[in-house]
Amino acid sequence: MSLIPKKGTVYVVDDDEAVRDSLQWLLEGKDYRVRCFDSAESFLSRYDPREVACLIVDIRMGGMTGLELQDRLIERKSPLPIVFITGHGDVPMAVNTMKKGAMDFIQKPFKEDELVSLVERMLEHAKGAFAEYQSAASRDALLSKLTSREAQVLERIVAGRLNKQIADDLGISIKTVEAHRANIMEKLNANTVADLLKIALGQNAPKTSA
Amino acid sequence: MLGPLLAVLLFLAAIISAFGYLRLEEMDREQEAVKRDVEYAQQRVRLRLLERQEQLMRIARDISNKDVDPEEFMGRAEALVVQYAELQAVTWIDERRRIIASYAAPSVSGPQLRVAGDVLRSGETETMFGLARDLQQPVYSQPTAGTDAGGFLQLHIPLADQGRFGGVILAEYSIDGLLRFGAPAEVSAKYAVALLDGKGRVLAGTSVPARNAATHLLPWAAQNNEYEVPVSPVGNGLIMRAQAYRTSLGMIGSGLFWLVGALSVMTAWMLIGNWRHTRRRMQAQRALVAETNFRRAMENSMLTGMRALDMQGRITYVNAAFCQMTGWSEAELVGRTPPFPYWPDEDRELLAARLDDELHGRASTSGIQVRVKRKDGSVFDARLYVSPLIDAKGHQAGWMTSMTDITEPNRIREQLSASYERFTTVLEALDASVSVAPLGSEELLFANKLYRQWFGVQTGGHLQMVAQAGMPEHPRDESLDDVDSFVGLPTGALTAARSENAEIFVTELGKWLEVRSRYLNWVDGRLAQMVIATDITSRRHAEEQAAAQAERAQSASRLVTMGEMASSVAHELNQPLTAINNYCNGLVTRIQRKQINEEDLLAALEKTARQAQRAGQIIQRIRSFVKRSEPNRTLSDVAQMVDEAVELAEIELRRRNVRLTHYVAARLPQVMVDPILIEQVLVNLLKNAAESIDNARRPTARRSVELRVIPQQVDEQQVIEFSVLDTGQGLAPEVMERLYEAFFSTKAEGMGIGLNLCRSIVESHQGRMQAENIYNGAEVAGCRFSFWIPVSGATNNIAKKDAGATV
Repeated sequence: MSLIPKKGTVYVVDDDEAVRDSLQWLLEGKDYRVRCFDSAESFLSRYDPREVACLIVDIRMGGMTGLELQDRLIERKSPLPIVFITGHGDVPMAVNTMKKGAMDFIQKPFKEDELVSLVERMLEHAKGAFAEYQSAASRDALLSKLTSREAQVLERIVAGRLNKQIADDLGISIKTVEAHRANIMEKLNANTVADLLKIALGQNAPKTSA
Repeated sequence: MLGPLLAVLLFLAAIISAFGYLRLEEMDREQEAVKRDVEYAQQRVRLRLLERQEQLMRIARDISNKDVDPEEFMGRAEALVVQYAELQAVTWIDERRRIIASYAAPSVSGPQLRVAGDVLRSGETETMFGLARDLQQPVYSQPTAGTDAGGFLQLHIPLADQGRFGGVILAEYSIDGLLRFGAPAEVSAKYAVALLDGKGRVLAGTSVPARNAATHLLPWAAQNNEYEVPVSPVGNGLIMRAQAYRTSLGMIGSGLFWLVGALSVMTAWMLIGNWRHTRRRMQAQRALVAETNFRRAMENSMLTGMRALDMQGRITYVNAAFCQMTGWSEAELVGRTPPFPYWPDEDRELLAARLDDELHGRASTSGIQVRVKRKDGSVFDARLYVSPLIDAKGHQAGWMTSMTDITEPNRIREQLSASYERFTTVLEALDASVSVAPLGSEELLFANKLYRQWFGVQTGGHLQMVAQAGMPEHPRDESLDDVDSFVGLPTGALTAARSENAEIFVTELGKWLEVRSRYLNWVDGRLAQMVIATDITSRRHAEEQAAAQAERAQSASRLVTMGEMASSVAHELNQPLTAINNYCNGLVTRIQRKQINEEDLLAALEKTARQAQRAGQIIQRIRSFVKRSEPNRTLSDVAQMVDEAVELAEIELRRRNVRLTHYVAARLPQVMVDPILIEQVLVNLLKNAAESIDNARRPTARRSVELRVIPQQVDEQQVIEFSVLDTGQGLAPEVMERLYEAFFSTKAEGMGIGLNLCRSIVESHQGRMQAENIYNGAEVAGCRFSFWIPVSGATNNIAKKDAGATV
């Protein structure tokens, strides 16, 4: 495992040692950094989400299966692009993974160029995804500073309601609403309502799509 | 019995008491005689003393009257002394103790001699002198034995001198002499007469010596026959004693006693002898009675009739059985002469001739068969045996005939021959060939019709069947066989042994025969072997067809199993193929870029080759599993079989993400099985288990199958148990019932021949198969399929069969 990043990191999780080893051999020939794991559990324990990488995982494994691994990663909001290795009869299962956001699946035995282009695509996608993951993470950090009452107020601002209406909704005075607004603007480093909306919606957008 | 003895004893007692009485009487009489004689002797001594005293007193009176001077005194004293021998000395002593005159017998000497003019010496004599002076009466001295004066008795007669004491006349007697002359001769002759002093010491005479101590103890010797009496003028100072000499018992009296005693003892001895003799006779008589009763009981209990004839042909004796047989009583038969009443009229002449033969000793020793008429007129068959009757002197006194009723044996014989006929008919009609031949001989003892049809009347067929069936003609006891085939053979054990079965093909007949043989003791006691052969050709064909069918089914089932596992197999094959593909592509890339060194190249190529081998192995394993092969039972290693099955099944289990753990006990014995078939069963069970888990959609943690192979004991039989435990949904009750039905399946794509076939495979190995649900509380937690295969039984039986089939 060289310290100098080449074209990017590829995680390989497969319980068949030969497949794993041969995949590593193949991808290293294409100048990728390859890290192999013999089970989903060992991958999860060592995986660093800050690294830009992609994951190739066997759909059938002893212990935790590829599908379960995908579920875990979604729980963690991992931006890691996933591609599944499937056997001959596992196409319906593979389709299901695609619905959950997997990039693609490849059937054994692999066609070399197909695999390489897939890996390229995934790494490309990963770059964007990781940037997004980073900004989302910073937004989350900002929003987490708000009190619950402030969050309620922000929610109504984003919905386009006036201060008076907000005061009515929450059963508080307009003055109090104005004070909350000032606090929110300060905490989120926003100068205008437009900034406020950008931050708030940027946070909400992945939530609704998931 | 005791009476005579008692009488003898009484008689003896009477004799003894009579004798004792007489003896006492005699002793009394003797005592009386002693007393009388002693009194008489004492009387004589006394008289003599008194006479002397008288004479001396006369002298004393004369001296007192001064009529006598010492000279005359001397003369008169001399006359006295000379005349009376016992008188030893006479002395005249004056009042002043001076001896005036003294005359002594010549025999007196020494100190006893008194000399005139001497004064009386002080002492005893002087004391007596004083006593006589004082009493003025004659005084006798009290002689004492052992002193000087012991032998003498002194008599002091005082003299009166005008009314005064004028001295004494001292007379001295020899006590010895006194006894000698005083005691009558006849008394002295009869007794030991002695004179004793006042203390009982002997002064003179003899005494009977004391008896020895032993005799003193005897009662009749206690009193010595003696008598003592004091001599009266002297008083108690002088005692006369007479002792009777011991006299033996009168010979006549004791002789009589001994005679009577001896007779009594002899009488008693005779009585005892008599009594013992009588007792012995009684015992002998009792024994005789017992013996007679025993004989009588024996005769009566015998079923054989006994009849004794004397030399003239007269019946002298019949026993109870004879009377019972013929119906005539003993009284009616004894004393009869021929023709006897039990002779049938029509056989009379024949029987008379037979009897004549009998009487002349010409009867055959094997007996003669005759007909006998009972009193009620019925007739039966009997067999007679005759033997001479010898009396005590060794002369023939007649003939003893025993008679046996042979009607029943005759009937039984007829029945036997009838049943033999029936038996033979059955044997002849049997559709199995039955033959019996002795061991080690060409002789054919028995063969039924079918055997004769097949092999003729030679032993060849029998021996061929025995040889072909692989059964030893001789029992398999080699140590005995080496010596002799018959010596020491436990024939009882042999014939009791289980018969052996074998199926053989006889080319001459073109038939398959099932041959059973067993050893039996032939009627003549020889050990023989019986072979029963049944034609099983058609059955054999059917069996072969069925076997082929089963084999095809098994083979097909394996194909089906593999078909069901096809996608798993494809996946399994994809793994090495994928790896090979990857290695090759990687190589191509590197070679194109010239980025590879030789070392990496070789490593990659080796890895590639290994993956190709792996793919080949999978295909090989499947091929050997599916390949149709002849049933081949060999001694197989259980662990190896399990490994093969597990590797095949794991293809499927992996695909279904089911974990398999298996445990095989150490040191399991080898089993005689067809390993492919057992593998088939295991693969089926493991595959079903994985499917069941899949269908139950268990989470990963609960997707496991456990295979255990352990030795067990079933019905006292060593078996190996294989069990497959899954965590699936178990079996519904209705499924459990129909589990082994052919073409019953719970699976949409299943054909329903898996479990059915598994069971028939297990049962063809003498094993059993069973299924049960595992419960966790009320919920079904899984299912356990298990089967076992016997170790020893399978090994032996199949080994034998196979050995027969392959040779």
